[in-house]
Amino acid sequence: MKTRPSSRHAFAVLVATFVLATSPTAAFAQATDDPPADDAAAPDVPADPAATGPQPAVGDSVKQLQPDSAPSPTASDETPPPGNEKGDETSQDDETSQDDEISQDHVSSSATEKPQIPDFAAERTDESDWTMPGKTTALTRFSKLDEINDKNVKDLKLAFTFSLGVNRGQESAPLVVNDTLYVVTAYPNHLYALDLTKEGAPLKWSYTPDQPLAAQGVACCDVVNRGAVYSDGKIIYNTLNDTTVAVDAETGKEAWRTKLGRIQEGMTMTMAPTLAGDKVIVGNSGGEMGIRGWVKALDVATGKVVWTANSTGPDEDVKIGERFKPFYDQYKGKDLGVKSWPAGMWKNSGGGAWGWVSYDPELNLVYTGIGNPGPWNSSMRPGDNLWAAGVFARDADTGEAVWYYQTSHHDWNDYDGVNEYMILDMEWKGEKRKVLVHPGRTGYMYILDRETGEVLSAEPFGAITTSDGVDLKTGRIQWVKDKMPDDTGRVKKDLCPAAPGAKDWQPSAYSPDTGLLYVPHQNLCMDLKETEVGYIAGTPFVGAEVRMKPGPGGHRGEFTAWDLTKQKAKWTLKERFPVWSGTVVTAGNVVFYGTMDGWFKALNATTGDELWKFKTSSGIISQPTTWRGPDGHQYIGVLDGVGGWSGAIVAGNLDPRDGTAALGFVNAMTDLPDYTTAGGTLYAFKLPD
Amino acid sequence: MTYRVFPFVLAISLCLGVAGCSDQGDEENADNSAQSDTQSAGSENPPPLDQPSGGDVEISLVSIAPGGGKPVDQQSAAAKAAKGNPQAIEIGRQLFTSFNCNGCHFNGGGGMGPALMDDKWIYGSSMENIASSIREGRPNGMPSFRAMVEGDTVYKLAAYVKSLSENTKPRSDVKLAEPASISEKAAAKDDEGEIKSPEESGR
Repeated sequence: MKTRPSSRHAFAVLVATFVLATSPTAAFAQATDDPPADDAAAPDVPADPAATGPQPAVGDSVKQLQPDSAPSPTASDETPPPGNEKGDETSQDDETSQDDEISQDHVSSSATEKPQIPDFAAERTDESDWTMPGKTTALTRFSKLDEINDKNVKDLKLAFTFSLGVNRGQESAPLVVNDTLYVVTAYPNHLYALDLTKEGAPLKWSYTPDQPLAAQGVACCDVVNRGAVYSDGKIIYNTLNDTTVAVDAETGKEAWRTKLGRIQEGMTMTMAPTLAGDKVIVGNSGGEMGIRGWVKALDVATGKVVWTANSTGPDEDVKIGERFKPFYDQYKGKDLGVKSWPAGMWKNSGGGAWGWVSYDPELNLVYTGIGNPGPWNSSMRPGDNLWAAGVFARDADTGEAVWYYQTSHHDWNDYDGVNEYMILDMEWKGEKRKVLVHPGRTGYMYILDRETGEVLSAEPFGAITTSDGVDLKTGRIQWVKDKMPDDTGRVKKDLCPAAPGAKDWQPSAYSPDTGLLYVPHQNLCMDLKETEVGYIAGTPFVGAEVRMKPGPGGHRGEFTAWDLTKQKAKWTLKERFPVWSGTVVTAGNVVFYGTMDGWFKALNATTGDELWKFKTSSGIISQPTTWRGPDGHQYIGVLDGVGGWSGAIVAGNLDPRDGTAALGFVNAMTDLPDYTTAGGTLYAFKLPD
Repeated sequence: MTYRVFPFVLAISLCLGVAGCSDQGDEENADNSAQSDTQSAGSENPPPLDQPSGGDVEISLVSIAPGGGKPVDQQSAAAKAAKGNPQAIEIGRQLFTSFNCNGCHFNGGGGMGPALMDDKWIYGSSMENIASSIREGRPNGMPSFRAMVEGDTVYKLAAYVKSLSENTKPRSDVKLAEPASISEKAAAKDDEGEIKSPEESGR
């Protein structure tokens, strides 16, 4: 591949054309009628129009701050019912040390209140049930249940287990509705209902969607599923072969199924739907396969598609019209989803919406993160590559775009914009603002105004060498030019964060009691070399050779408690492997997460002190949840089953001798098989009677 | 492609008189170089394969046959010519990238598709097995590349795929990559807040 790149590229195009001409019914019949042409391979890195803007002193002020005068574990012991009271104490401590950091004007010095979960979500935090992965559509993952608290969690015991029957990465969340526990597995996407009213929570029914084995062959990063949502008597989730199914929660019978895409185009679905009123919002995966991303709204009652919004292409397809009022100028103009790409490349541009969707019923807006542009080879697609790698605010009823923000223009590191956009209300420079909090793959903790799309703050929470801050005037990330791929074709070394970002899909939780955002994430860097690639439908469209490695310090995972008011970490726990599980925090001042070497842990949510841990059979990459059972007691549930992109070396039995395997993740995980094997089990814990 | 099915009894009776019926017991059996172009343990000897492509090659996926007989195990002339041939392997290597094989299998370590550099062959390790996997696809997601491989092209790809599992260093030699070496400023966020290093869990 070092020789004659242009002729080889031409060959690939020729191959694609050949397929189109000769085999219209073959798996590759979807070869584009506009394959990435030679002119698309121009190696120029586009000039960054925002490069001249003022550079914020990102990181400079925060790093000199002394550690907080955090309440000690004893402080929390003195507060009998762990809850709001203690939280308020923390707030006052925070205020005193706040005086030292006025140097940064976007760090509010007048903040007096902790960010709050808005009413529409707060009123559901004390429910016994857990009906959607994010707890509410604000995605806060906070429960008011406090029977299990920082003083008694050390006694937590296993209540029951259930084998999922699938030894692939389990990324979903146990749901509990009306005394029944529902859990979706990795492919083949079994749905199990367990009867919590009976001893041992026996199986009530199971449902397995009808889908072809071949779907496994186009899932980029293990055959995961991120969970289901309950609504209107139905459990609704996506299957790997691009189908949304609704299953009667009582009987396990399929209520409706809607086919939304084709695996022959490299498209899959792995995300958890979000409920928005009488609709569910779903999106596709396949940014490594040259798909064209979209978000769809389906009617909960019938499964009918109410609206579809593409991530790229003409304004009409993207649902950009009169109501579109982006905050920043670079998003204004006609058909930017076409013009910010080389001719025709938007058709195979990636931009899947495979992550989290949040919903604010008061504004009636859904916030849909958009994935990376394709191919990874960024030299092939000069331009900003809109609307990939960012977030749309859309009218939940019509899908119309209201604003957009791009976290990674001309993305060159696979920095998808799909991580959660958590909905909170907070005081900002003395003003109440409706915000989204987004721990980005880029390594910055973004706070956005959710009404306008303005970036209020973007402070680093991970090690970063690829950029030099986010310009708050233009909203643009400041790429470090000499780290970017250039026409020498040389390997670019020590790009931090690596392709999965400083944080990937694994969702955070926020406690209004502590004012802290709990962020499970990774500490990885990478070496990257761009390679030629031609689009062939149904095959990967990547064009990069990656080797990941541990980030500074050598640990690969971190669990960070982030103070949203101060915009800095309060404490950080280091873990050997990426923390690829979600997290849940409770009014009991306890936060839970799991590790890839198979420890399920409970920490004091205020101090980060480890209070309890349990060794599971396999590594954990799922989303823990909590509920109150029919016996009146609080439970914590989690799935083990290592896998996902980070655990592909185990789930897919990959070979550590090839560091480029699994898009380069294997290089940073060669020792994972020494710590864990594949598995798949549900665990539920409670206090002893 | 046809898979020949033998009458069970006939296979047993043939086996009685054929020295090669001894249990070779591993999947490499199917690729034993002692197998000539035309050798098989079938009830009949298929005609010699001298055509460039292996369209009529008969090949089993397994090394066991009922009654101790040997499964059909042919090798086309094209497969034989490509196997281990440095030129064929080099062309195969380029095709491996052009067809985006590397997008799933990378440089042999695997990803969306299984690893190719290890010694596990789900669908058989012979040149014909590999060529068949490429041409026809496999049910768990390997696409059929039949429309893209003409003539003996598939054997060049197969030769490269086969070469991936040869001369690899032992797995025990693999060491975890060194941490990235970056400036203090870039890593500075690590100095924020309180850093806790919980007791190393696991071991």
